[in-house]
This record gives sequence, structure tokens and C-alpha cells, in this order.
Amino acid sequence: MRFIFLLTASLKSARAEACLKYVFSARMGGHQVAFYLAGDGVFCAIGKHPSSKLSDLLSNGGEIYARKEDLEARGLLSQVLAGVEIPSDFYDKLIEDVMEGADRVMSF
Amino acid sequence: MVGSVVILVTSAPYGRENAYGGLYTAIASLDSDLRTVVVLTGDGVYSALRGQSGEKSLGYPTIGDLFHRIHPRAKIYAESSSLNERGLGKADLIEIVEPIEDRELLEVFVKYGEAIITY
Amino acid sequence: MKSLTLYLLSGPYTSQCTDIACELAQRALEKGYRVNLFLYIDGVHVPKKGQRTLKFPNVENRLKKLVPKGLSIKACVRCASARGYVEGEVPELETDTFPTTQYVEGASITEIYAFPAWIKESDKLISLGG
Repeated sequence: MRFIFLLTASLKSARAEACLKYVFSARMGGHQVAFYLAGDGVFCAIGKHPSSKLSDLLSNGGEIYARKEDLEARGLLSQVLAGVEIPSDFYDKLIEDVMEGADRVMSF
Repeated sequence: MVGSVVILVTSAPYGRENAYGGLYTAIASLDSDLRTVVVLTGDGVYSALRGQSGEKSLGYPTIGDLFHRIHPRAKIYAESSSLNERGLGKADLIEIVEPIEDRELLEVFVKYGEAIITY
Repeated sequence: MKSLTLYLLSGPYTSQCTDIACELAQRALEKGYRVNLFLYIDGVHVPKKGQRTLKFPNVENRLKKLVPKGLSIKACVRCASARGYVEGEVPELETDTFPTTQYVEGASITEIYAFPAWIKESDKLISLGG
């Protein structure tokens, strides 16, 4: 199955911790995972954050997308983990993926 | 079209409206013939503690009572890892709530998660 | 035509989720999908009339642009009544909605059962906030 996760909460929040648990569970369970980060969720895309395990997700075939405007607003554009994609229109891509590609959608 | 829904409660009861809102929606989903599963995770597992007295103590609806309007029409799961992190076990929970391991929980999302709502 | 239901639990301005919901609704409408927005808990504040913002994008104005494009908006009566939006006791018979003069045109207050009804008609659901 293709799982889409949308995270709008910051990395150390309870919501983000729950989300990341299910992201990895889905990936380890052999499902396709696309992880969309918007709002405060973009803090998860910071490469140097010691708690971020997103590099593990990328090396295991997960897709990660972060919203440019939210990264810019927070001064994070230069700190994004390599491999995280920054679409030109994040919400357009998310809608397309949700409506045409996803089997399961979870948002936190 | 969507035929099943997972209600995922991540918030503790009483301090915020989320847990109550999630269970209220679960009841409405069941009344509308949607296959429904309730999953308690994180602080949401506290919603399943025995011995709650919301009405008497706060004047709020007692969250635990809502479970009896959901079960047995729907399963109610409490995530084992969340219980363990909080020093809780099956004996602490309302009897109709079942602990569930992570791998089994993934199967719940696969099988019933055509819509998944996080509270 | 495929349908998307958005479910919003947070009020306007207190979190970014309302803006995210509006952005998702706009993109989905532009792509030709039917879009429903169900408001729950503090989400019922979102369609209130008379919002005057100084620095932040005005949510009311946003909704006024999305409703003519096809966005359907309903708010849960339990939540809306608790927050003072319901101005009568019984639903209006023709529309099965509860009376309010406080919401933007196109937004209505309904029983919670409108939400599972929308879920069943939809292809996908995204929940935000809370």
C-alpha cells in the first residue's frame, strides 16, 4: 500500500513522535511511504537535528517532501536534510498524491 | 468510497476536548454504518483507565462511559508501547479495551484505515 | 468526480492548520475535485463573520472566495452550540441545519451525522488540527 503522512507539528511534540512511529512502522512493514512536512512539521527536515531519523527513512526508500514557504519563514532552507524534496507547489503535489496515489492518509 | 474509519486518539482525556470529540465521532460513525475502530495512542491511552469520575469530579462527561456505547460494535485498542511507557498494563484499563502491539496496529490501519482521523 | 473531505479541529489564527485546510481546499477545487470542509471542536469558529485581522491573512475572506468555487462547509452542532453560534432550538426543516446569523454564506451548522455521511461519499479524508 501507499501511505501518505502529513505532519504539521514540530519534531519533539507528542504528535510528531506518534507520526514518526507510524511512518517507520509502515515502511518497515513493506509499504510505500510518502512523508509530507508543512507548518511546524518542517522542523523535522533539519539535517543536523540529533533526533531526526529521516535520513534512515530516505535510505530505506521513503519519500520526504517539505514545504518551501514554511522552511523559508522559519529560516531553515539552508539546513534541509539532503534527499528531502522541496516541491514548487507543495499542496498541489500533496493533493495529487492523496487523491490519485494514496491508499492510506494519516495526518498529525 | 470510504467504508471504514480509524479514530486515533492521541490526547489525554479531560484536559482537552479531543478525546471526548474522537469517541463521540466514533459513535456517530457506527450509527452511520461505517466500520469503525478506535485506537488509543500516546496520552490517549489514559482515556481507557478504570475508575474515572469526570461527571462527579468536574461536571464533564465521563470519557470511559463512551467506550460502552462503542463496544461491542467496534474494537477499542490501546497501543502497548504507549501503555508501557506510562507504566500501565491491561489490568489498569476498562475491561473492553485491548492492548495492541505495533505490528498488529499496522494491520488495523491497512484493513480499516480508509479514513484515519487523529484527535 | 472524486471527493475530498477535510476535517478541521482547530480555530482560525491559533494554529496554521486553518490556512493549510484552505490551501488544500483551493488546490483540490482547482483540480476539479468536490471538496467538503467539516468543522469540529474549535474549528467551528472558522466561518464566523466579522473577522478583522491586522497582520495575518483573513480566514473569512479566504472562505468567501472558496465557497463560490464549490467548497461545502458544515459545522457540528454540539460544538457550535457550546460556543454560542446556534440561535434556535430546532433544525430548519428545509435544509436540516441549525439557525445562525454568525456564519459566512455557504457555511451551515448540522448534526454530527453529516460528517460520517460525507466520509462515506468521499474518496479521501484529511484531518487537521486538534
